Amino acid sequence: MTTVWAGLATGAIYSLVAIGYNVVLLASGTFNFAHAQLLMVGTFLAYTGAVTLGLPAVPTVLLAAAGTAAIALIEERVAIRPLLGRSDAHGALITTVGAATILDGLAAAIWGRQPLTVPSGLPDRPLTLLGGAVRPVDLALIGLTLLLGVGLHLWTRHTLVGLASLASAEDRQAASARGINVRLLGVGAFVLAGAIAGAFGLLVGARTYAVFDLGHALALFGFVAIAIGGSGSQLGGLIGGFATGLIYAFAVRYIGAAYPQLVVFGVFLLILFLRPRGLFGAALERRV
Amino acid sequence: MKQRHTRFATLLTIVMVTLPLAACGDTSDTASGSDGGAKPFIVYFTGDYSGAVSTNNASLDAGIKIAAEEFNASGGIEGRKIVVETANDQNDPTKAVSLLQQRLASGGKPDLVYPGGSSAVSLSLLPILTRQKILSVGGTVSTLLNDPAKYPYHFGVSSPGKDYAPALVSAATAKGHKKIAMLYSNDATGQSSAAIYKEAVQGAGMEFVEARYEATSLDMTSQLNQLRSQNPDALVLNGYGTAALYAMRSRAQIGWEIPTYCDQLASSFPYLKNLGADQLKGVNVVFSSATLSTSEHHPGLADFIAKIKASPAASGMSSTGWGLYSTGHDALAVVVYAARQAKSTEPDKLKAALESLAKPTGAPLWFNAGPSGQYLQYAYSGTDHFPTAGADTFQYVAPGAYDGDGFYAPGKA
Repeated sequence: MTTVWAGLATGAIYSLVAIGYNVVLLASGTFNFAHAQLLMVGTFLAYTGAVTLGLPAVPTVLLAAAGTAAIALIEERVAIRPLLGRSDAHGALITTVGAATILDGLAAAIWGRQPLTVPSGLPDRPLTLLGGAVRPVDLALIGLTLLLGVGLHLWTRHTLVGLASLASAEDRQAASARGINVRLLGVGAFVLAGAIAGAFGLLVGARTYAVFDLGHALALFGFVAIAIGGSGSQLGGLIGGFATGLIYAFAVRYIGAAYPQLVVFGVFLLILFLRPRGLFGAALERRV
Repeated sequence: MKQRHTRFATLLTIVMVTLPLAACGDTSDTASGSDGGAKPFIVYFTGDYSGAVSTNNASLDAGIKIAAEEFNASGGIEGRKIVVETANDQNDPTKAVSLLQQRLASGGKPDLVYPGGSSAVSLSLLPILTRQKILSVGGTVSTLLNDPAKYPYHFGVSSPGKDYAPALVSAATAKGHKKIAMLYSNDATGQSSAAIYKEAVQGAGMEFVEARYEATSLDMTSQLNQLRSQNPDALVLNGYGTAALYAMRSRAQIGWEIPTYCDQLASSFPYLKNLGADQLKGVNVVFSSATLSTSEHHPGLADFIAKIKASPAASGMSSTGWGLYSTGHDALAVVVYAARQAKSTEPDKLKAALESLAKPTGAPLWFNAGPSGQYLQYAYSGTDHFPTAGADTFQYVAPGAYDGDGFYAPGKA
């Protein structure tokens, strides 16, 4: 059971990355490769709040959420906005990779290259739950990620703004013609994704430490998570992240420590072959 | 008249161009070969001055400059003033090669090269240095560098990784361990470390089991549980930074209080800054006896440490201790000692002197070998250009931190 808890806790972080990818993808049609780096910045801002400024947990979470949202907004203005309306739709992929590299470099320059311990405020002693050892911070991370994923799924299906973002994802021009402010929706999506990444900085940092190259590991498996779950589906991203974490943990434990990446990418390829839209992604018609 | 002026101008141009070239050739010959006392002894130090390992490089750089100052104050090397030239290779082998080639093309060969802060950079430079018959002495430790047939002019001053394994075997044997597990990074450094420990452990008649982790791993409970299921008596850990922290935290999470021994890389991480005492129960790190606060100190060390503290690179001492500064210092000190024996700075004579270096009587010119050179012997030969460690050169101690003088203080944060 310890392996299950470890897989779920790591998977929760992959789910958060996948959810962040989906929030932006649904509303603005852009794949933000720098989202994992926003999560990394969130861990550093949480460290700044909790350790450097000595703030309690709630103000620390608010500080990290606001700071990361502001950085996401700047990213949208600098790396995405200038490309809107251009015929080359893939330009944003390049500029978001550039934004990720800049965030890595800035984090290393500001906070250094050594990992920093982010105190969550929860007890560090592991608990025994359902026969496995798990830390309270990991339980909080798993539980809150589940709540977030399900909440965002319901929000996109049952609220006007959520439905507008789904419409925008499907056809930006048609959505715009129906009176949806797609540009504002896109900006709002970046800010929301940044705020979520920052708000989870305290819990993620307590598990991974705040370290400038954290985004590298998260970006790859976050991408695998939405490919498994289905891009554009919040529920798919959530389940894809947990599935990726669990597959990795069980592959290490029972197949061999040399094979987890092979197994994860094997499953990834299998899903791509058998169900290219992912487990929860919807098939879209495209005129060719 | 106009034609005469043109001829004169052409002649003048030829003379102007030829003179400096002739002078360059003269400098090159003298600098690389003869013992012309007036010519400076050029030390070309290539390292990372702006990238990821620039902190470590600053310590090496300060150490070699302190050594140059110290030996110049006592007459230089065989009457030649030591001049240290630096190049910023950013720890990139390609850039290091390009900068060295530019330096050689500019005229005049350096007399000694410190070939970079990583084995990859050293390996990229050695073919050029060998062709040019330029002596190099470095602190990088890949076994590929210790190949006198291929790189006859290169010598190492730091212990290779294999010298750390006897400390583990000695500790494991003393405690009656029969099976050793190792958790290591699935990259070249981790695999190299695992190969060294596997050979040493199996050579001592113990069983060796292993598990790897990827650079992207955020948790190691699965790897540790896999090892735990094989009932080992002790665990060896390889890794640095978050990888080392994840391993220690996962070990504590599954409640596995197995005696844990860090390899050379894992030992250099400051665990006490990030982990509590309960997460480090049974953990041991390996350090050179010479750098421990509890050991007898070299008589010249206090003066060396005072010079480090007065240097611009003083801040690095809290993270690297004085040992890394000494690596830069010792690289030059060994060559000065060899030159005194050879009574020459000519590369072939220096090489021959290094390969038959007499053991110093009393305190040696270098610090990492201990107060009487007992921990590390520069007993180079025609087939071995790396130093030799003794049985008590490395010790396993509790995790600690460097004190104000750069000595490792076990158990102290």
